[in-house]
Amino acid sequence: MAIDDTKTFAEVLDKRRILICVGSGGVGKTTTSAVVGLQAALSGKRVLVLTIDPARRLANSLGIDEIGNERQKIPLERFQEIGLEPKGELWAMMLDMKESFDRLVQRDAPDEETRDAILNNRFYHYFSTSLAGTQEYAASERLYDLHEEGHFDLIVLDTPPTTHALDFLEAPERLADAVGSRALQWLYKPGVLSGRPGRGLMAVGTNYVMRTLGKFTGGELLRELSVFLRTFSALFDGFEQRARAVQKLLASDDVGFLVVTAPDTLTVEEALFFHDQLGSEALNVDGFVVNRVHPRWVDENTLDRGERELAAKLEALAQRMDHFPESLDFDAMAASMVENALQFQLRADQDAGSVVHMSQELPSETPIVQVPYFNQDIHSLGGLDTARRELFG
Amino acid sequence: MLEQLLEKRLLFVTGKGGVGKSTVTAALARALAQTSRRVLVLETDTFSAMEDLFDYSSPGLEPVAINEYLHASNLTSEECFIATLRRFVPSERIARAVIKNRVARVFFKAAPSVNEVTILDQVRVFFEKTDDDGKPFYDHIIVDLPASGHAVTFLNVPATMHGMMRGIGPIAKMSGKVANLISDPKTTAIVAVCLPEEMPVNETIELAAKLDDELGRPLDMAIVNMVHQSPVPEENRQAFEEIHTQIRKDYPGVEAFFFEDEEERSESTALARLIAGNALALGWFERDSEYLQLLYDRLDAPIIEVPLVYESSGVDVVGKMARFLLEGNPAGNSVSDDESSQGVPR
Repeated sequence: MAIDDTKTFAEVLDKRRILICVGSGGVGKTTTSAVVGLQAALSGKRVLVLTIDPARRLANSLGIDEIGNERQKIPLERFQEIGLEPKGELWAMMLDMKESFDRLVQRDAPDEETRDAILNNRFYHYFSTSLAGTQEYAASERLYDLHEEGHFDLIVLDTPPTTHALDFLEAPERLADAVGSRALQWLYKPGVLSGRPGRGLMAVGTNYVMRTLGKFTGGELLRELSVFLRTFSALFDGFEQRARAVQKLLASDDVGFLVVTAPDTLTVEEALFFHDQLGSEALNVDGFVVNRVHPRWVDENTLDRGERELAAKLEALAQRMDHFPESLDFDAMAASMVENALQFQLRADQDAGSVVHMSQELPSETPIVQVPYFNQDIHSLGGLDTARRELFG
Repeated sequence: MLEQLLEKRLLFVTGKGGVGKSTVTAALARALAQTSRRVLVLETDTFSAMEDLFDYSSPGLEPVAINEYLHASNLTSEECFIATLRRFVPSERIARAVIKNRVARVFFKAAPSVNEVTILDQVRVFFEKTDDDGKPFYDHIIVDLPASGHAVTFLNVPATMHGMMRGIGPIAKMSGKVANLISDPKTTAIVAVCLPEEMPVNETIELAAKLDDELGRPLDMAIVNMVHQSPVPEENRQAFEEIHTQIRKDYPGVEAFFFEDEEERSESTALARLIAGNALALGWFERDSEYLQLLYDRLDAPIIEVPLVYESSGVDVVGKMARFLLEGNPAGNSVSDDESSQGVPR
């Protein structure tokens, strides 16, 4: 609702093929992604909202039962029911990271034997679900595929909540680093883990390290892990190539980032930190969306002038009503309303302060759009459309 | 309100991002410390929120005394790893050298759940610490679990590890001990923090079911944070709603006034804005009540409703919340009156 920024913000949608929503957890990222998707669909684009959030609420708000691994089109009737006539199309899809990672193994494994050895290894489950970066890597790969396929004019991606915005972007590199580093190549060498002394200073040090780790974990675990990593490294060439292509795409002008945040101090600091991270990689930050902003109801001088005047106005208003509430203590009512206003004013001032702080910290051309704190969860396409009008004016 | 927790020496606090989990953890710790119990708050490998909330700085593993009874430490996975490793090598210097080795670093990244196990094992070390008389050094240890990911997955790591390694080897043994500690409902409590909103409430209900299924233990308490109070006394409710209806008739789209620049706001809309604002607050209260009711209906654990606190500094919020947890909120109206705060369905 920052009046001047809504236009700039709408323009953003026109120039990108991919918009990536980043932010910490609980700030309304999924909803914001859907709202942005809806806006673009109404203005004539074929849009895919790609979410990682299995929340049924998003499916409900889009008027469908469930969002699955397959892309799904939001039926036209859903829009017509609430009087909308989209010129484009809105699609939704949920990203199952485990499944995406399995696909990747299936694609890149050099032969069936290697593929099965990986998929059936007892470490694979951990590797594909727990190792930092694997899920994000799988997500960025899927995004790349969908973009290459060219079916959609715009893809809006709702990223997993992370403490570091760049987890998602650095994932390909980090994963490549984890499975492909020279240090690890060394670990693959047969004999290393049997404790046979290697040659040279570095090797001696590492042998000591591995023996110590073996004592600590039990030798079996270390051996099995080593076998797994050696098998897994067969996939590495495919990873490395893809990782480079994905990174090139993310840094291109086809892709923009939206930072989603809530107005409390801690979350704003995190959002600004995301912005710096994105900026340092020369990525396009298209705007900030501040959700859940508490509005200021009345201004200071109204509150200063006091409750008597408001009580009198309240009484005058009541006189005009068809059903005049009998025996109402207007003074008490005005007093309690003013007290509430003063309490929420603290929140509103804090939120407004956060937005000012953001505008000082961010480059002036970065739009900051505020969405007021609704007292209703979004359950329907209609609710989504209300939020859309708040966001795009 | 905290009676159920006084018996428990180890408390795990969980909650998704944005629900105020760390603030509630800090308040819980302050409240328990005010009853002259020695309390240790542990964060797990994160940007420390406690440093702000307690106004202290964590130098590493060794807990810092915030006051006579309250202690805190931020457990980084690296320091925990070194502490664990230290038991297997001759000196701390060597432990540090081992962890710096590149091959070792790759191993830490790829090995399943080593971080979680060493962090939780460090929690166990503090748990088992005794004073000179052999009594437990800390009366309560409160662990602020990581916000991302699922608490059950995190807490289940030791048991999984133990099983995966068939109980053989030092890590397996260590995991076994920690797993026993976590699954013992006499010693350990699991507390979920949420907001009175759809997703957090549903996640809390799911969490309780998962704890039962996967860890075979209950959720001990849900703390609902930032509960809005009713802005209008119940007896005036109907009159207020009629007045609000009239205002909406007189000023269609009155809510939009909130976002006008202050100087453009007209004097004449002041009352309209005040009423619409209070109606907004009433809406928050109603939404909160709806999801609280869902929680009461579906959760078989005590529920504490913490009213929204209006303070700007973290330290002040924690102080107010701690006072509320100790004394209740006799001055508060409706939602947080004594009855409902005790977990009795409304």
